[in-house]
Amino acid sequence: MTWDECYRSVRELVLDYATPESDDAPLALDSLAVVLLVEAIEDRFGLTLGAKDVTPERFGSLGALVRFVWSLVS
Amino acid sequence: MKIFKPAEFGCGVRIVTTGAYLPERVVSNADLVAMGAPLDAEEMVRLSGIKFRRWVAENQATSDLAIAAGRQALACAGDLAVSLDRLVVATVSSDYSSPSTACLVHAGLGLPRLPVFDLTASCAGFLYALDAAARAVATGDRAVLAVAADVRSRYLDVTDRATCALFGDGAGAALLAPAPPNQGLLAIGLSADGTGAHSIYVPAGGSREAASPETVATRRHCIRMQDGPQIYLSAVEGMLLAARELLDSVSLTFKDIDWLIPHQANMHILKRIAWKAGLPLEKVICNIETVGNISGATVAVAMDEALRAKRLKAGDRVLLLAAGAGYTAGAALYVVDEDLLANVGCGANI
Repeated sequence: MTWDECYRSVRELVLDYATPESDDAPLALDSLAVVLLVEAIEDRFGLTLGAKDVTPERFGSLGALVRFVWSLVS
Repeated sequence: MKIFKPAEFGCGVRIVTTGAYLPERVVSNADLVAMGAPLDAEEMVRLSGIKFRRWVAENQATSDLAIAAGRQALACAGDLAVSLDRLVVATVSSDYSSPSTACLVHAGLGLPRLPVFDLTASCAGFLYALDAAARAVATGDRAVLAVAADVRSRYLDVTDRATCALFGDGAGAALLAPAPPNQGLLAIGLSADGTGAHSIYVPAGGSREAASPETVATRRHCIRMQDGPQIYLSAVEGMLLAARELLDSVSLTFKDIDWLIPHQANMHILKRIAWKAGLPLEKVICNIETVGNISGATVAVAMDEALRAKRLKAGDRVLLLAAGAGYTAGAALYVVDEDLLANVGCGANI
């Protein structure tokens, strides 16, 4: 998987729950949306995430989330 | 986790009968929207898997539900009903802060003089009550009634997005008695991690912040759930950890389990547990869609429903599992027997 593919996949999943104006704009996800997004990321990328993985920083913006997922799949 | 295995003490503990009671009032997601909930009905289903829940009537309280569930269990217990030596009631929503709800249940059931007490373990309440009852049976009690009952609707802020759709009211009960070693309850384990005490809590109305017009106006007497994603994921991890530790202690794995009866917190949590445990969802008893999260009573109510519906068979290994505020957690491994099936069936028409 390339960075661009990872970016597009994560962005597609995020758009189900938020419409970020830019990669660094706050996602403003509520708690349940974060849980659903975690499940969607796990399904899409074959990952298993735990409570310690889900921090406000990592789920705070699209860019941060892409960087986090990329760190796990690259 | 502290694990209790009755056989290690040369005895056994079985569940003789179960009972459950749900209040009559059915509250739909549309009803919650009409009350001012900030989610629409479809969002509630998507986010929680819950379509309906039962709420008490204005004149009902936790003890009323506990008495109904306890009465149903005792009605099918035969001679053991008059041998009752102890009553344990798990609740986080007692009728009064004093006296105990157990005292009210004692009176409501017309029990003779015997020890009764409440315990508080939030959504792990039934597992904690089961453990206390099992230990009492193992040390000489002839029969112990373990009841879990909660009325969370009284503590619900319907305008709170995180909790508005989740909670229902209800009660479940199990009557425990001695058995030959290695029958019935094979093992039960409990644990707690108090560092999560303020993750899900009711801020006001206790000794930390007494009830006042201001606490009511600001709804601080209602359930507050903080840091939601962490709670959801921690609940899954807490239940899985409890389950694995218990199964390890009896040299079993999830593959050896016929049924999982988990705390009905949220459908996403149930699915995630099943997925992580490698269990098909068909092996997980789920009633959250129609009753919601009944806090400490969920496992008891779900088990009673599964027995009454004859989904559980004699010889089935059932894993009861819960995690709740505090954080608290519990797991129990139970082997169903013919007597339990027959006794619960007796109560079907009560």
